[in-house]
Amino acid sequence: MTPPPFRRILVAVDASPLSQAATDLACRLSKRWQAPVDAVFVEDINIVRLVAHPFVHTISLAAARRQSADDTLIGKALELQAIAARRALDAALATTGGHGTFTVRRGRVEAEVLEAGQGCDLLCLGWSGRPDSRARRSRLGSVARAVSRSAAASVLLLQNPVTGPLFLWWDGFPPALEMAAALAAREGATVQVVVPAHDRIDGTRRGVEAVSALQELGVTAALHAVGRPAALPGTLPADALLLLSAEAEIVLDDLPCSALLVR
Amino acid sequence: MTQTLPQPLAPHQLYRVCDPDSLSFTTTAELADSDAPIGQDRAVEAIRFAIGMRHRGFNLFALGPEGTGRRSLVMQYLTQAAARQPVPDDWVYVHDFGDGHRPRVLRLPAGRAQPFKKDMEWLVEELAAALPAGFEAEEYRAKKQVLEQEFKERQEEAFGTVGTEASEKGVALIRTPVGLALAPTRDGEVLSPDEFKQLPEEEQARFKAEMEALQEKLETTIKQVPYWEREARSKLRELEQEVVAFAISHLMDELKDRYADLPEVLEYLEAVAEDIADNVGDFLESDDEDEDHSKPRRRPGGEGAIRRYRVNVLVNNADQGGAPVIYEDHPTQPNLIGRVEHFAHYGTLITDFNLIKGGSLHRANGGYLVLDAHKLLMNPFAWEDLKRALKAREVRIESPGQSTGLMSTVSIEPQPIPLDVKVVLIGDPMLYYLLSHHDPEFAELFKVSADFDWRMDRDETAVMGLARSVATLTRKEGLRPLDRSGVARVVEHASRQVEDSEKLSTHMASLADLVRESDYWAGRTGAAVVTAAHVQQAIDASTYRQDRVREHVQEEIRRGIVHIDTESAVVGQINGLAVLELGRFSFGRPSRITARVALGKGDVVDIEREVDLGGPLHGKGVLILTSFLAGRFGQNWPLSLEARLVFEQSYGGVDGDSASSTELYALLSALADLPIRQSLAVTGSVDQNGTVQAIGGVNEKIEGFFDLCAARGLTGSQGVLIPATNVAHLMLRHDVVEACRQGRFAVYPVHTVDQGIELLTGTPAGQRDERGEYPAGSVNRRVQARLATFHRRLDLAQSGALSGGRETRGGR
Repeated sequence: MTPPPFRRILVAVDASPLSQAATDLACRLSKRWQAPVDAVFVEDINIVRLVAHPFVHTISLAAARRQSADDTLIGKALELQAIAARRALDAALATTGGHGTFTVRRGRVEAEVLEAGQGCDLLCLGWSGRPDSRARRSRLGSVARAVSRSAAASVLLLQNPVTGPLFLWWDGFPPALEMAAALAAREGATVQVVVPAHDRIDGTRRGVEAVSALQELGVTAALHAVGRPAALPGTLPADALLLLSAEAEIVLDDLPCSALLVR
Repeated sequence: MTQTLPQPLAPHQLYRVCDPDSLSFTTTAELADSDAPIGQDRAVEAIRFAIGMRHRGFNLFALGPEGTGRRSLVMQYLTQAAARQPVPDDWVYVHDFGDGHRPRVLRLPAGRAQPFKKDMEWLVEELAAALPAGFEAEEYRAKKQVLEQEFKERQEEAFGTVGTEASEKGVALIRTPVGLALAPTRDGEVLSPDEFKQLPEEEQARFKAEMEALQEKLETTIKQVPYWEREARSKLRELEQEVVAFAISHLMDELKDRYADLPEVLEYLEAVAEDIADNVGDFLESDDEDEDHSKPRRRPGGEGAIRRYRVNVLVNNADQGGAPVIYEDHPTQPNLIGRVEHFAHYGTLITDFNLIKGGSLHRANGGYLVLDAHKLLMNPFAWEDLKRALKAREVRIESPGQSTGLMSTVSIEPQPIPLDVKVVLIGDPMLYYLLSHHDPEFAELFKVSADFDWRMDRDETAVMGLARSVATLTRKEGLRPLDRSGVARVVEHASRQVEDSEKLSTHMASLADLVRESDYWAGRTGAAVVTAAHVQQAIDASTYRQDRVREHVQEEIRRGIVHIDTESAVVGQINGLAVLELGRFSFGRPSRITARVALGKGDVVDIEREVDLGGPLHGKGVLILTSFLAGRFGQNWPLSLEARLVFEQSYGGVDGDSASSTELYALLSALADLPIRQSLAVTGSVDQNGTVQAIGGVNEKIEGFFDLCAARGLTGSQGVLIPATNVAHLMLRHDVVEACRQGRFAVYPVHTVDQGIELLTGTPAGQRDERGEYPAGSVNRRVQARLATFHRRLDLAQSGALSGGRETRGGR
């Protein structure tokens, strides 16, 4: 019997819409593989420190007005965010039937997430804490970027709620293929293979091999696209989940969909 | 001079027969339809005049009693005139894109409003398909993404510059839950206050200065964002308008071709095109769940927003054959001037121009509006708003609350519609006179009156006109035709209705009812035509249905509960005659009037008046008879009597002066101590000279006394004294006429009080001779003597009293 791909899942929450979507997805995976979910809310130490400075001001983005950094107000806002994140977790667990814990930590966000994620084999977090409502895509947030680079475990970066097909970015990293097979087998989904290649013939050959490998693992698979790495993201739908190597040569900001960086 | 006693009237004076042989047809089936009203020449002329006068204020008031055919006549003439007049224009309300609260009115040639409405619906449907397609095209999406990306990059570049500069100076730009903040850092971490204090003072000052400068730059950058955003939106709008312009241009061109002859509509279409370009999102599908930012956003309530391109057809004259003639049966203010309806939306009442409903003034615009004056005045605000519309020559739709300032709810103010209408009010004369007297605007707005007469001369033309009206009615309603005897009886009844043998009633409603009821009785006997017998049966049956109270009154008299003597002779007692009106039925009722005299100061006391049971006209009659007594018998000495007059067993009020001669006879009888024949009853008013004058209800009065006498048995001595001037009004029942023909009852035409008292007492009244004396034994002589006796006694009594008074005052 193939071991489950995830035994413990960490989700970083901050009450933003994407972190709530990440919580939902983490809870679904938790239920599927009986893996507990640890949710962590980090109070940014930098924010905590800056409000202690009497000469530091905040500048309202809505009013472009300077105001003294009121530690009571910011503290209360952080507290409310934690409460909202906890409620979102409770609601997601109640819906999926999974189980998990909720922890509030204080420190540098990426460091705390990484530390909390030790022992976990999947870290879930939102693509960005402040998605741009006007644009189709947001730049990858600084925390997500740092965690995705430094984490020892796989990292799932949620850009949109995942409701669409499963894609595999096949650059020859077997753990990504195996995880795609595991997820697809459990979901009954087809793995769509995209192959980054400067040589289309070679790329196609590698793609066919990947499809065969997936089929050997018992899942249906199809070759979706072969092409230059910069052109491939444009072929992916926004609601898809792309599995790829954490070391893949790709600019994450160009992706239109959520990504699971496999290690 | 000898007084000539009146003789009983001959049967032909009691009833004017309409000889069937004088009619030139066998049945009404032979007669052509009546095309003109009878007996209303004055009213017809007025109606024609009002129709012809198109000037301001020449509206019409048709006044006359109900049932004289006012409405049907007015409608007949208006309909004829309207058919020859042009069909007025259509009117529609549309949205005013400049001022949404003032819907705009458009005038279109008759029959083009409905197609215009359909054209606008077609436009909206086409746009609903064409616009989304335009915005889903790859070209549009690509251009839009470029614009958005430009904005985003500009923003990131600006914030990035500040962030980079901050980073270079060891300052972190941090997003907090309440905004952006700058803080001193070391190795990527914000320094705590303690750590900061441990820095050299120069270093701390440098940080503060750098942060201050960076904050200013940050503020400047944030302030720039809305401008960039607006710039981006503006570019996006230009792009949208390009798409819209392409999508709607060919549709608009098609519409503009169709309405090229209507500049107002073209102007409106231009406004529509501009508005669609401004609000294109209203035509796009709502996609909240799968938010696609590439398309323009739909405004909240988008479906409702599209309503503003609809057309509300207020007046559609497509099927009109000429000018409209509208009769408004329920002239409330909203029914008259229109209204603005509302619907509830999330607990709030909202409205728009689509909910404007026209009133009868709108429908009648360019033609005629007929209203019942009484109903109009009974409805709050209706009369005032009608006048306002006529004066301003425009219809302005306002709710009652708005016009009185009672409501402050935000609503719409539809643009007023120019008004060109002729209004015809139908009402009774009293309303006309009241309005003329109390409402100064009435005379200004209703300059023409059509005065409907309630009667007409009974001549050959009128009789034939009536026959043709009957013929028209029978054909129209599928009734049996009337033979000439039936028509003759209807003619006679028409005279009885107006209580004048020389006139005919113009109350066509009641005559039509008589014909319908006669047809019913003819049908009961299976007759093919209606004869005089059927008409008579209809009259009798109608009387029977209504005369329960009359029967009770007669029964109480016959049983002696109400005492009316019809046999003996009594001093100071006389039978008077009153008329009771119960709805549309009236009948005569005998009343016993008594008079008592005594020594007094010349007062004649009307007991009815004393107890407020006598009306002012009755009081006037009593004062006139007092004056008569003074004029005749008080020339040499003052009247020294006190007389009291009363209607015995009368518990309701009495009014009118028709009993004044009766009361005078009772008074003369009491003064002369001469008994009055109770077999006679009297009616008639009297003047100060003793002349007996005409009264109303003469037929009912005679019949009332006749019924009592007939019930007790006609003796031949019974009869009624009536004013001679009432003879022309006699149209008595056949049984009364027959009794008179057989000498068992009599009707006496009386000119003077002297004639009457002689008939009643059997004693000559007596004429004054050259010495001022009346013949011995005459009524007047006896009255004169009695009054002289009263005077002497009073004189003696007063002398004694004065003498006693002097003694008392002298005290000697």
